[in-house]
Amino acid sequence: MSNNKKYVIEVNHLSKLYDLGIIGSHTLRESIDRSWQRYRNRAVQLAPPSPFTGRQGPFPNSMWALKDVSFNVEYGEIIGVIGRNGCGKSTLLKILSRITEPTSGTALIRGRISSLLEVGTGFHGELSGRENIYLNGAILGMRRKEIDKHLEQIVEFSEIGKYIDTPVKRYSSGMYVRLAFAVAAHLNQQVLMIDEVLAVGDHAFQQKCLEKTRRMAGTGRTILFVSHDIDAVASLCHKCIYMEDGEIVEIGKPSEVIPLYTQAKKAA
Amino acid sequence: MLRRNKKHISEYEILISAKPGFSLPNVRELWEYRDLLFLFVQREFISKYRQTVLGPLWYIIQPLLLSGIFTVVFGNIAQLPTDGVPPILFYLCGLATWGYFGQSFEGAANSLVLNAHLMSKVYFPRVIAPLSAIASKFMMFFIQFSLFMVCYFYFKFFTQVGAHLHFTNTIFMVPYLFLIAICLSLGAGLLMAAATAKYRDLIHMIGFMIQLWMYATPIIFPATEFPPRWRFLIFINPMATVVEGVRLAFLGQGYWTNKCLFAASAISFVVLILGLLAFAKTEKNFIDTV
Repeated sequence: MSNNKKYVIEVNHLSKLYDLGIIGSHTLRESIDRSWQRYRNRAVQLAPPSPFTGRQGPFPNSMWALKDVSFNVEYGEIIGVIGRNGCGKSTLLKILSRITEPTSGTALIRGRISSLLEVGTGFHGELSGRENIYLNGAILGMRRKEIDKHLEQIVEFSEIGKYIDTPVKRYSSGMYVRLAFAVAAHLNQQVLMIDEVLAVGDHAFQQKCLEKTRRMAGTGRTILFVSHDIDAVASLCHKCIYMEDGEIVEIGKPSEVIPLYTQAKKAA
Repeated sequence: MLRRNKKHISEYEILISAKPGFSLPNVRELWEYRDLLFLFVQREFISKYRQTVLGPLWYIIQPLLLSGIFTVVFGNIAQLPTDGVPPILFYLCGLATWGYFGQSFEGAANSLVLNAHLMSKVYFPRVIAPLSAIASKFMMFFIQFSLFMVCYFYFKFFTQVGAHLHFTNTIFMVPYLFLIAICLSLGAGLLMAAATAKYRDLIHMIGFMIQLWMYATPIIFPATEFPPRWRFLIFINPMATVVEGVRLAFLGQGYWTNKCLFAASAISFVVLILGLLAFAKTEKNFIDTV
């Protein structure tokens, strides 16, 4: 791994093997059998994928969700990740946000990282808006003191106003989204991952979120942005990663990469 | 051209890679997430009693009802002895102690599956979930134990049998006994959580296991009911030592040997380590299978 401090994220040959068969009912015996085979074939399993086998993994019923992905991200960049459903975008984000482990390869992240993968994750219906700000902030890795400092800004940004002490189960979905984004937007984390969250809320609020995202990047924060919204990616991102079948097809300026994606989509 | 702000370039580094083998939780990281632990406890407490009329009063009603039932069924009908202690006190003492353990164990065992929706979206040290499940039961224990103390002083000063009730020196061991209960419930809960993440069937077993375990613990009977030759079998279960010890401390009646204490400590410690290892192994990729 290079020691280039210029990059905030360094992804090196990252791969993730999914075992499709393991979901569902497995008997104990099968499970023991599998573990034993795994153990004997450990070298095979942890070996990086071969470039010639497509998505098929080394075992029957296994598949590479992510295949030998490498890229670097500089400080303050907004990187858009585009690709069709099932191309590995979300798996990539899940690995980078440490929700699941890669099968092989490494990723180095310099700075505290937080992910905003779905709106309202970690909100609890019975708790009030205010209590949820604290809970959600803590889940995203903030300390109470930090949240205290930003509480007013968060409430203001969310436009919740006097309903802040109402249990969030009585909120409209729009209020829910606004509050969730407001918390995430005031995180102190240096790296932020956003997955399709802007697809909700009304148009005016979406614009506000995009503007906020742009400003966050302006202050040296690095953002990884996964979206199907090509326009948002085009207007927001400095760089774009186009993925297909678990592999990176192209990395570059959005103006160059996005046409590749739209063409491929038309052809399919 | 991008503007770069030097202060955002931190020394904080995270290396993500496949980590085969076993590991123990990173204490420093847990400390950084202590606020989350606290907020999880708060969440559990608030969400449980908001929109209930009686609120935390349920903590008092439950053991009282159960002790009443035990008194009728095991005391009056089955005529199990209670070491000369008023049955209701005898059961309340055992139930308060056991209640903490059982609830902690159940909470920890369910913590992975209950929080799966959260864990599939955000990273935080996974062990925070079972830890908070255990911490959130402190309040319940405190209330139930207060109930026991209230009943205790009632019996001591207003009834004939009260003269036999007295604290013993074992009272100084009570904090240690609770440490054993906490370690054991965490360890066993983590083992169970790791197992349920893989075999969902086991969720249905948890309640049953707790019930069986409760009857194996001397709550409705004193350990001295067992012939000395076979008594050690009961004390393989560290909770037997804990319950007997607490009873000896507050009621003046209970079976207590250093051998039992040593065995309980050792067994709980081993279970805790096994639990932590199994949990760490499971947490890495369990989100792929739920």
